[in-house]
Amino acid sequence: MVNVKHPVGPRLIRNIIMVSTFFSIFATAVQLYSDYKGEAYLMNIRLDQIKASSLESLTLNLWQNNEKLINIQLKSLLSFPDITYAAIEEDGSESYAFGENLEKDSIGKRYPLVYMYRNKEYNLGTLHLQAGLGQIRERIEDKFYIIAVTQSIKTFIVAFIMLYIFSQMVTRHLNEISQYAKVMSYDKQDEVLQLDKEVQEDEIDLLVDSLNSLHRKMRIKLSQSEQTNIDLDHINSILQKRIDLHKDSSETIFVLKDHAQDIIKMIKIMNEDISHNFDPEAIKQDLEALNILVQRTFS
Amino acid sequence: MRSLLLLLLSSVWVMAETMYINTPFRGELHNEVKPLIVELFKREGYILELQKLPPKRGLINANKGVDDGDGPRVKEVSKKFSNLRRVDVPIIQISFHAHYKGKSINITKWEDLKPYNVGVRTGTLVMVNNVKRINPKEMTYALNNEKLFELLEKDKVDVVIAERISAKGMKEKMNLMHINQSPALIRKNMYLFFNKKHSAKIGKFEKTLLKMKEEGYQKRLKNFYETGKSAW
Repeated sequence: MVNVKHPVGPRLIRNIIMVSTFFSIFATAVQLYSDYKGEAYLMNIRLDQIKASSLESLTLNLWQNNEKLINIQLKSLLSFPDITYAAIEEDGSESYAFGENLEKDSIGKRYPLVYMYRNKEYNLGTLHLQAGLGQIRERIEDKFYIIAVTQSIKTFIVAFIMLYIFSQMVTRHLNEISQYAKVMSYDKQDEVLQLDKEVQEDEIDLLVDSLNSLHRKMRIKLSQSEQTNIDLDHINSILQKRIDLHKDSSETIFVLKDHAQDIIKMIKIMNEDISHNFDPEAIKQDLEALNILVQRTFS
Repeated sequence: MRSLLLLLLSSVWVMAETMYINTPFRGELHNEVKPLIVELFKREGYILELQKLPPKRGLINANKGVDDGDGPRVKEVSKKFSNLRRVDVPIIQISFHAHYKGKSINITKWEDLKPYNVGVRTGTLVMVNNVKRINPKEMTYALNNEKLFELLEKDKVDVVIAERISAKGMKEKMNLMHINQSPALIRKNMYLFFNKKHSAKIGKFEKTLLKMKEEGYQKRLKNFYETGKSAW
């Protein structure tokens, strides 16, 4: 395992969890809102069903002022799920009422209690039914906790599985590639990077191929460079020799030039001697000196 | 000629106006009182529709003006139903009694009802108010006399309060002649009531009723009530 300061795996799992949690919350909110609306819609239908089943008999009992039966019927309406309040209003005030009038936190419906009397519709009052939203909210809350827990578990499991898969499919090979790149050298000419993978020709393989190709090219370039160095060394040595040779020649020429100047000086001296006083002895000595100089020059 | 015909037709139309009057009476009592009321309306030039609505519904409808009137009723009904106006000549006087099984119960006045479960008909203000006043052990309501005596027969109540003639008819019908009857707990004059929209007619009705009284109509009903023999 390669030690890195900021490994990809944990960052990947953190990002997966964050993104997944965000979408989970969003999806859960949408689902719960939809459930809430659905429940409220069902509640309306339920209220209408209750109305359909009890309105006629309630109307008749109200017409007959059968208080006992009206009371029993209204009480029985409270046994329906979520129904929290049942009342009959006559002339704007409640004549019969059971349950708790929640007003705000409820879905309420009013149904006119209409009795046909002498071929005319006669409004006896209004049946007021309320279904509390509290119980719906409790159910939605319960659902929220269940969804939150299951989604969290799912997210963590998926994240860790993805981390494992990513490690197996990517990180492991990257580490191997990294190790290979670290020890890659000119000396190991035959070593080609090969990964233990089930699926071939994916992006990792592209990278490996590229790396191997780079290695191969590098080896060739290094080899060429080495040969060039050898050639350059050889040329360098030849040049050195030539330089040395040339250096020797230059020195000889310089000495010869020196000697030649000495000879020229000697000849000038002899000319002066001859022109001023012709002394054979002096000329003889001059010739001997000149002879020595010539011999030194050409020896 | 044409206008005369129209006047004649409109007169017939006015004469033929139907009045819807609700009555709490049933059975024999209803049968005996009905001819007097029919005659009253006939003399006033109205077609009478005497409707047997549930007693309280009859009052509510008359009070709201859905129906034109209600009766015979005790005069106290106008306290609770403020839109009702009384025709201030009584039609009949009736009495209310306690009815019970066995000889262990002895009732001569309202206060004697206190230890019992008492059954009363809904909408009968005299009975309901008097029973409520003495606050009995329990109070049970029934829609009609038949239900009331059923409760008594099935021992669901100890005593029921009912008008004498109606109770007699019900006992005969249900074969409950073993049921005892107390002395009259109260006697009440019964009146006809109109919705206030008919207030203007009340004076004429009172005059007509008084005339009928002079003719002996109410006396016939009194005899019937005392002897049980049909007034007509």
